[in-house]
Amino acid sequence: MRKLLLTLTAMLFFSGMLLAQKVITGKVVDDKGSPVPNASVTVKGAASTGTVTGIDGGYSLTVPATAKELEISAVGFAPLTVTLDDKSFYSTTLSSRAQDIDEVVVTGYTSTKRSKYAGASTVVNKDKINFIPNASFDQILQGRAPGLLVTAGSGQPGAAARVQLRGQASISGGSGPLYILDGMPIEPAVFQSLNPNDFEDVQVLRDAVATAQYGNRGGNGVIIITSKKGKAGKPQLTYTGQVGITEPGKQQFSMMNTAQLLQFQEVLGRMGVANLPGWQYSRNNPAYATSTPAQQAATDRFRDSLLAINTDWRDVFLRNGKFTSHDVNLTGGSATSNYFLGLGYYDEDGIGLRSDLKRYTLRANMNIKTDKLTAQFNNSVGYTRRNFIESEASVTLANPFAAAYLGLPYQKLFNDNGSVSVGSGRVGPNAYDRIYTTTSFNDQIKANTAYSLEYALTKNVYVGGFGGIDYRVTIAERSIFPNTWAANSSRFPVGPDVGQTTGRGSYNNGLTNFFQLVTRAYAGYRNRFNKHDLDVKVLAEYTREKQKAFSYTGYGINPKLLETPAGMTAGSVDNKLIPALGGSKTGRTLSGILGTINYTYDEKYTLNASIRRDASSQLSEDQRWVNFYGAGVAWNILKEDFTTNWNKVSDLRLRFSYGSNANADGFYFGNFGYLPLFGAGSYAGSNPTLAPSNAGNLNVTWEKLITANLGLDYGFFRNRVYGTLDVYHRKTVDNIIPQTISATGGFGDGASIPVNAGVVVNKGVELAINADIIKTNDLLFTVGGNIAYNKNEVTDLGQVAQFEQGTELVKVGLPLGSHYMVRWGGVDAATGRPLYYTKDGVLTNVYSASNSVSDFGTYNAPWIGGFNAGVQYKGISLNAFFTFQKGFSRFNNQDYFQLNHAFALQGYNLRTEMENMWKNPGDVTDIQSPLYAREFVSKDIQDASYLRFRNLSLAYQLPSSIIGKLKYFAGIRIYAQAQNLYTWTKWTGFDPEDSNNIAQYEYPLPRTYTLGLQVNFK
Amino acid sequence: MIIKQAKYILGVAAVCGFLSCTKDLDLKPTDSIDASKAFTSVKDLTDGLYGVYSSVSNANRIRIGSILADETKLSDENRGQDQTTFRWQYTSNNAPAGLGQYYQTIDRIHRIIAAAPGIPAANATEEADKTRISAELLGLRGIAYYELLILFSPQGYAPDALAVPLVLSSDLLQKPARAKVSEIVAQIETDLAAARSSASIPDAPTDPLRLSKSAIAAYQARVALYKRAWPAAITFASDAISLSGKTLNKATLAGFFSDANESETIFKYRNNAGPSLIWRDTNGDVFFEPADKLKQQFDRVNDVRFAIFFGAGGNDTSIVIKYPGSSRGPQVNDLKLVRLAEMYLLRAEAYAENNQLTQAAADVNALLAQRVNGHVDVAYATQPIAIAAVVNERYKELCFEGFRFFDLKRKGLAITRNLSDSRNANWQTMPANDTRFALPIPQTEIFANPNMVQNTGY
Repeated sequence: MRKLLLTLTAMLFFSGMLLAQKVITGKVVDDKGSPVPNASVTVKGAASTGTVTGIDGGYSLTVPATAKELEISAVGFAPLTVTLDDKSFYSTTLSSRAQDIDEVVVTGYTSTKRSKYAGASTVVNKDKINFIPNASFDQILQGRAPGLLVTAGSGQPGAAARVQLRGQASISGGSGPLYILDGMPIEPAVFQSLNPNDFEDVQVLRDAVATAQYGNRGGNGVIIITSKKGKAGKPQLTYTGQVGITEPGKQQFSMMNTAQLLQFQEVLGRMGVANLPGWQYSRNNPAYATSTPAQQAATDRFRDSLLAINTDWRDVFLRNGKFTSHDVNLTGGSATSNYFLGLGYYDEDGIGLRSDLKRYTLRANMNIKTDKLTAQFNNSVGYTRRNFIESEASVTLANPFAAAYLGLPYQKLFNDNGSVSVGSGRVGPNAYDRIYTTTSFNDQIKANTAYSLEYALTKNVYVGGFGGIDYRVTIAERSIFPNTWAANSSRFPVGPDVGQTTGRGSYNNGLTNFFQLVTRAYAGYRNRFNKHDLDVKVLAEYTREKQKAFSYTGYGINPKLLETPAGMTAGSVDNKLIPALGGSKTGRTLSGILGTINYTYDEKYTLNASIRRDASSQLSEDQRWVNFYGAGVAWNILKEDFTTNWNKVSDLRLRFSYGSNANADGFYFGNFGYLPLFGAGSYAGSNPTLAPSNAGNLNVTWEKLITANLGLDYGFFRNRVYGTLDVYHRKTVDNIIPQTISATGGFGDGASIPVNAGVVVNKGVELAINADIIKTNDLLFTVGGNIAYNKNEVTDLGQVAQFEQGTELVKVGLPLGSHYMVRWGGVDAATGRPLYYTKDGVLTNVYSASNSVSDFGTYNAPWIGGFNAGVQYKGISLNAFFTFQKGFSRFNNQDYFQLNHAFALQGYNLRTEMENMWKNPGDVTDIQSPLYAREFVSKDIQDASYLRFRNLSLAYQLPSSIIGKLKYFAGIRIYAQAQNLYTWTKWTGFDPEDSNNIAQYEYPLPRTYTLGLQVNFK
Repeated sequence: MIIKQAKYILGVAAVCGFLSCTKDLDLKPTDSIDASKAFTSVKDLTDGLYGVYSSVSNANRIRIGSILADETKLSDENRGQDQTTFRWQYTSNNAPAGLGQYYQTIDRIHRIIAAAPGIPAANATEEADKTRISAELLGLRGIAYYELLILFSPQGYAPDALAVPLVLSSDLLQKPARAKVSEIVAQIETDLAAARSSASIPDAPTDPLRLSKSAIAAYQARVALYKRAWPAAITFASDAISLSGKTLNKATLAGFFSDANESETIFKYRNNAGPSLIWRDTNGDVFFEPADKLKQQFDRVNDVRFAIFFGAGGNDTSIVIKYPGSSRGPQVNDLKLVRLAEMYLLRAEAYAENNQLTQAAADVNALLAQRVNGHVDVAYATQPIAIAAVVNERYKELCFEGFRFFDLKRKGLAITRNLSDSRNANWQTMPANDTRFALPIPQTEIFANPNMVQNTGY
């Protein structure tokens, strides 16, 4: 009663002071009627007047009497506008999922409502990004945005993926997108130290109007990450934790066991190809019959002892790992400022022995918004330690994923005395021993800051600035312990000490340093008058990037001082343990000026346009400046009068855009490759040398991309069904390619200079669709997905019609990444001889690389996408997510090695299919006689299409009826998820997914199961 | 009014932003040197000269000279290494030799020659340095063209046969046609003569990493041999021998190959990059053994060379150990570009060809006296016997030094291997005048240079 009186008094007092005020109360609930705490409630047009809902979803707000509308928003819900009338209590139901119809599109330089945006972009919300057990956020994006190809080259925790938007646009240059975190460009492909749990959303900008603003860096699309912000209200503390396991996925190949391999070796012996143990100790060997009984007994004993051993090396090198993550977030704020603090810990064991990742991250974000001032301060720092397997993704015996294939089943891992049975020809044990007698890891510290400030000089004129730093230091350490198998079989390829430190061990330390500074200054004018909505802006941008590297390797390691520089022996002429040193420095400067205009008439017609003049220090003074432009128009059809009766249509917008840009981050020749350069060296020890090191080309200029995009945003049945459809044509002109020059030019045989030649066209269609199939108070069943088709084609190569690039053929009329190989013609049943096709399609038994043809497709998948289905019933939600890539093929080097008798001769294991090898005239088989050399041919190109059950998650949110009774908790959510649950593919090997065109014993992706808990504290 | 204000602000922002940035766009590399600023002092010219010397390794000639010829035997441990070369199955796509190495040498020379006149000498010492550098560069250009000459022309080196393009200045984008053998030979002779006439080049190889008059005379002698100009070859070889100030010595022979002494060195290349991978891998695998045919030429008991050239454990002689390693590492040795014994054999061959059989025998005897214990002097009854004997002595003395294939090519002889060495009759014999004696021009060059003509048969 007293309280009421006080309130009444206060109200009277205030209303006396400021006559036009009233108090509004209300409650915010979700679709299921559960209260929505922490929802922001503000008066439209006066963001400083606002509050947040309490634990019961209730709020009370004093508003000016003139207030017409309230804006209510909450994390994970679509914002809603409530029209105020005479009522004092408002019950509001927020839709439980953000509809992407009217979200804000942040483009780095500008942000605008989607309804006033003509660009093609996709938002991936935090519920799809946060708390996925994957340490590199780019991998999390796989299948989430139409047209975005994400393929991981490694299951090593923290490994970055190959990311490509709308096809490979450059013949020889980079094809990766630009990444922006809170307005700050960040180093691509180095994400291990960023915590994706701190990300609010990720936007994928695909077309020219969206990316033209990024000028010389936006050519391959832009991925914009926005980190989390605080909510007005009292501090909210949230803890999220996960534990789980990682395990190897399905393996689509079977290796021979001891009995099979010995049997196979006997066949080779009988055919006179090799005298391996399976033949040496065979009773069928003619030598056996002529042996003495004692010798025969010894032979039998030996054979039996081999048969008693059956080691599956995959079991040795693969393991189940542990997974743990903890995140603590603290958020809060007032009407004019808010903060977000995040602490993260992430610990994932790889499925390969020794490999893991540990990450510690901190983030502190602060936002200030007053009538005049808008400021954002985003800071994050992360530290990671990654332990690596040996020789990852290389065709070497030290690579455990190679040894898993190659190791002989009749070799034991351990000797009887417990030591590892290393030795010459013992692939499995040697690789295993290396894991424990060498180290390879990196420590990385990455810091990001992005500060921005905008000030409204008048109602319409504003000025602003931005400054950001992206800094990363990685220290890679590698040790080979002395007096081990690894040390004994290592020779040191550098320095005056070549080949002489066998057995003495080494310690290597390599430091790389990346620094990028970006500053921007801008001024603009915005106004809404009558039916016009106008925003014009001019911006200048400056980017400075510096990279440094330094490394040393010391030899002669003290066995008592492992893994430290202190263990190195000081080098001298006598001991020959002279350390090797190396290092480098490079950098670049980018500069640009940008003008943009965003104009909307009557909410119907929108024009977004930009023009940008750009330069980079990576080209010569005469060539470095370039102009880019982009323009887009959008038509909001539902605002037209003739659509008033289209009751079933809830959203319909037509967009068209056209523009140009480039990719300064993708020059194949780096920062100074355009310059003719000399290098300094030395000859015969003490004589400095000076000699040309780079031919360069001062005339090389920008490779430009020109994109046209036609898009449609649609929604039906009150947006129960909604999505986007885009069609694009993307042309890369003046491709920078290496043109071979004559050896008489002085740079060696096959030397090249960068020149502008060639055109590549990517065209395609992208569809995204989402549907709420069932939507009742208690039950929500949704499905959604995206699919993209891209056709890639080289349409012009300047003076040549084709050229080879590794095992690819770049040819007019073919897509990039086309395989180039001799066509396999099967096996001659009479002789077992392998057959091939000539270029003209004639069968021959002569292998000649000059018969290579390019009829085997490309490794760039034309069809990509992802789809999901989800059920929510009361507090329970179940979601499944699938990704796929279709229509592409890759070389399977593992097939070449494991379906190749020559590898048996060299002492390696083979796949069980080799039992079908041609043995006698008349055998019909695809595996040739061991009397003939096995060549790398078209049958080693395999369809790598796959469909992957990427994620399955089950979550339960404790109902408010229980939570309300708890003393400390405002919300509890428990969940379980499985990652990479199953893969459907015809590919043989560990994993069809890879970042390049050839399988070479890559580290496969793990399957991960985790159990999670999220707690909101009161 | 607002519009006016906005304009002003936009203008200021743009100008400020712009001015602060544009000057930084002229970024220069820190780890390399801008080509236009490479040569600014006489010291730079000296460094450039060493850049030229660092490019004249004869490692590839050593590989071709032995593997294409009858010096090696295919080893059990060979898993394909250089087998197409050994089997004479090379094509333009896997050419045994490129044009790149020596045109790089030539280009480096031309860049220094072009820069030198603009660089003033600070004092008399620098003036002398400049003079010597200029002379050495001409000599080195002659040597580079000599190395190119012997690779790509057909057997016999007829004056009108195609050789390699004659390039006399640095030009990145040039697409020159092939010159005739006679034109290349003339250029080599001019360059070597010019270098040798310079007073600033020392007579004797006091620093065998750089050219001496003795070394230049040696190359003059080689070119004369290719021209079949026997008296000139005799004169030049005699000059090389006498200017070198060195004598043949059996006692120092083993140490000479392990770089312990330079008793026979006239000109050498410092091979510092790593173990010689020509016959052996770093892990000890032997890809090519010394040919049985070669070993059969030696008197295993009395010829001290046998144990110096061939070895392994015990009585096994299946490894080439002519490059045994040095203080700089196992199998790491200086590559001898010119050494004394070759000059004796070169002069002996010229004498024999000139029908001066006594003098030919005298040179061979002078060599063998320092190679074979209890050597008994030989004498030649006829000219063919003498020529054959000298060629065979070259086979023995100079094995694995990059001569054998080129000797057979120069003399119009067939390559004949023992079947035990080739292991297959298909690659046992390459008849005289086979087109494969002229090595293929690499396909990359054919693509890049429309004026380049491929050799017959590729």
